[in-house]
Amino acid sequence: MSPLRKQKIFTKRVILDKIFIFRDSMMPEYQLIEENEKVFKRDFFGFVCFRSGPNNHQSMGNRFNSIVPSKLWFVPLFFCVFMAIPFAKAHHYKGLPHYNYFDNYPQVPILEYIEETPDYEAFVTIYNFQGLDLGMVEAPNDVRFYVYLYNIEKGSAHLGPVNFDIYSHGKLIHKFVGMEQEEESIYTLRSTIKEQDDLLLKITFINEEGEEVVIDMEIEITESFWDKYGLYFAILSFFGIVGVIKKSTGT
Amino acid sequence: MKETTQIYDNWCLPSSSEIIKYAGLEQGILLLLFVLIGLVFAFRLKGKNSLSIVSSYRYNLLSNSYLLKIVKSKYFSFSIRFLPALLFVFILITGFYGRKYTSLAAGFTWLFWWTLLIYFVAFAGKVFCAVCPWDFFANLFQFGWFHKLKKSSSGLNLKWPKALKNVYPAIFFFVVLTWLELGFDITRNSYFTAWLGLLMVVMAVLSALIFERRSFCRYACLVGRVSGLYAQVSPVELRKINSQVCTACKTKECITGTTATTPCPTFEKPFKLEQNTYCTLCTECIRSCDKDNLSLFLRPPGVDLEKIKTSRKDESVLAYVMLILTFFHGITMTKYWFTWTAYIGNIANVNYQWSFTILMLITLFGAYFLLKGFELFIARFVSGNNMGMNLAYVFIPITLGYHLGHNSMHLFIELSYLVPIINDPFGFGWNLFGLAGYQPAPFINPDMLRYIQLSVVLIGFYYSIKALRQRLEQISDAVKERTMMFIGYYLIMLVLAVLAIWFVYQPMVMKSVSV
Repeated sequence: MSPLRKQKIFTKRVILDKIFIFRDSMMPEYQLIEENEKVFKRDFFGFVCFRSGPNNHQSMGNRFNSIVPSKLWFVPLFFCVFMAIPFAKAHHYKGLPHYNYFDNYPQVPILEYIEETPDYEAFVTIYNFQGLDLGMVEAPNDVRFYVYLYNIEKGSAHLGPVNFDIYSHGKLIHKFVGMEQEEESIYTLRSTIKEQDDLLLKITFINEEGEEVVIDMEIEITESFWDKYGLYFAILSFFGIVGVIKKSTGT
Repeated sequence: MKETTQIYDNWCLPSSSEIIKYAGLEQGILLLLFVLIGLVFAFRLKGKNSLSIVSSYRYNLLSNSYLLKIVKSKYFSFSIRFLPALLFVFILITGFYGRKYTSLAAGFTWLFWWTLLIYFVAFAGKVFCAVCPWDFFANLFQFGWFHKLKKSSSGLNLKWPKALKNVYPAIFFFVVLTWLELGFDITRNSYFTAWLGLLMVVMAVLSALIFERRSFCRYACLVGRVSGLYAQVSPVELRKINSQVCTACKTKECITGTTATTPCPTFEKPFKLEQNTYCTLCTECIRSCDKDNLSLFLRPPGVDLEKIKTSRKDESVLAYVMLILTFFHGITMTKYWFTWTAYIGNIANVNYQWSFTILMLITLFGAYFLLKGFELFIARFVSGNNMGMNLAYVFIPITLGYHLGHNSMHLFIELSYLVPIINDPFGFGWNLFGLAGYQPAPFINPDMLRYIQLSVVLIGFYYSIKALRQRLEQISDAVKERTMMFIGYYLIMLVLAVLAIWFVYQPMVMKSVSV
């Protein structure tokens, strides 16, 4: 055994002795080293579960098994991992990860909608994002709509002036006339919308044949109870049913 | 040259000549080959000859003792399913928490898995069932980690309802999935794709805990049933090595299971297995057999279809449904489909989803009754009762041929769209592999793709006619009846083959994930 390893073992032993106050530490050095070598090999859970010294410990696994049957230990673990994801979001701004306040907000769209008609396909992305420096933003409640119009027949983006009307429960809240596409054939609209609302985006333009094309897109932003918690409810119900079945079969 | 092209153009199927210079020549050659195949198999319909012989060539894939040892390991089933299961969980998480239209779940599921599944079935049998992540979770809940299989499972072990002991539940799910896939665009929606995946796991696990063995796999899993019928064409099978060993065996562990293995999960009798339909390649029977008399074999494709052992009405309905839905899939990607749905939408004053549903119902029922009507017409000249049931199986190769051709288009054109979504699985703007600047592009040029598509349609047609020839011999001894049935079914097959070729030459509306 190398001196470094010996040193490591003794350091660990000292720390553990402070925590658990070993009663059986009066032993020859070689025996102590041998004993501590065993201690050293134990994992973290082995250490924290000491109750009366290294020879009579209760492992984390044993304690865990007394609560959850050995076969099903992965169930709460899986559930905890799954449940942890939305809580992790709490550290983010509007569901978006960020690195410090008022700076460096990555642009991640969280609302996306597709509407198909026989000739066209409209793809709308709503960025719940106001700019790189939120402190300097003039209208922090605005969102941006990025609209892409795809001509299915021709296999290319639609180019040219387009009118956009945004309705909230039948009431016109914003009107954009003769909007031109910007970079990558995308139309950009800026509007103030409520956090929970159901909108209708009416897209009107004249196609190359001179006919008027109207595409109505329903944009549902309102999150129902089931949208928010449906997944967790489903997973809980699933484990509930599995538990009932397992209990009824005595396994 | 221009004059020659024009002459060929006159032969072309509608809209082919707009895009492809020698479309007429290609189609003419194919038509000639279809006729030649028909003539070859029609030749000497009377009596037995070389065309009647079903090939008995087999190559034992587990002849190597190390391979056999690996398959016989008690951890084999767990090992081959563990990684797919992990991947599946990751896909679900990207679907639930990533961007709705640009995360990995939809792209991976529909562009990669759903497309490649048919290739796997065609060339390697039911290999997906062998690594099925849904069944992994079913085993996990029933037997725990490492799938320590045992005869007495921890479930209610109820009998599957007698009325549902057929593949109609799977047919129902298959139709519903197609409806969701094409009518509601879930192929691009990662969130709904993830829900669908979760639903499949829930159904598989609950069914495993409630019903005996793997009733879900046998009767309700649409993937298992569809790939089951296709697997009859595949060149891989699980069969006994020596019949005499099985006859002498008194214990029949492949049926009863052992202390460490289960009986066949899909209620098959492995020592009697003649068709791939319900075998999931779980290899449980190989582990059970202490005489090592079961193995995986390579064989000539389509052998199962050439001999009638277990024709079933529900399977024949599934064969028709698969045929219709596969071609229906093609129709919905043509520009005509959008014209029709718009027309119905205008008449009935309904949105796309409703007009799609109406048109889908009309197409499915219309095509089904047309095929059944034709079948009844031919049956008038035949004395037996089960002609339609026995001969429905011969449509499987041509359906598979067109399905492979259709999927080739997705595979070679759209698969490159996977690169950006693997690079950014949640759609959060990550650049995990430094491929943010990658521009998806087709892997091969359109001409090469078209030749691949036409080849697989031709191969499918060949095996369908071959299976028809073999089956007719087993159905009827009367040459006149055989001739009538051959001509009737050959004509249906020819119409389907021409339709498949027409699809190949159509400009298709691709439904890639939005990247």
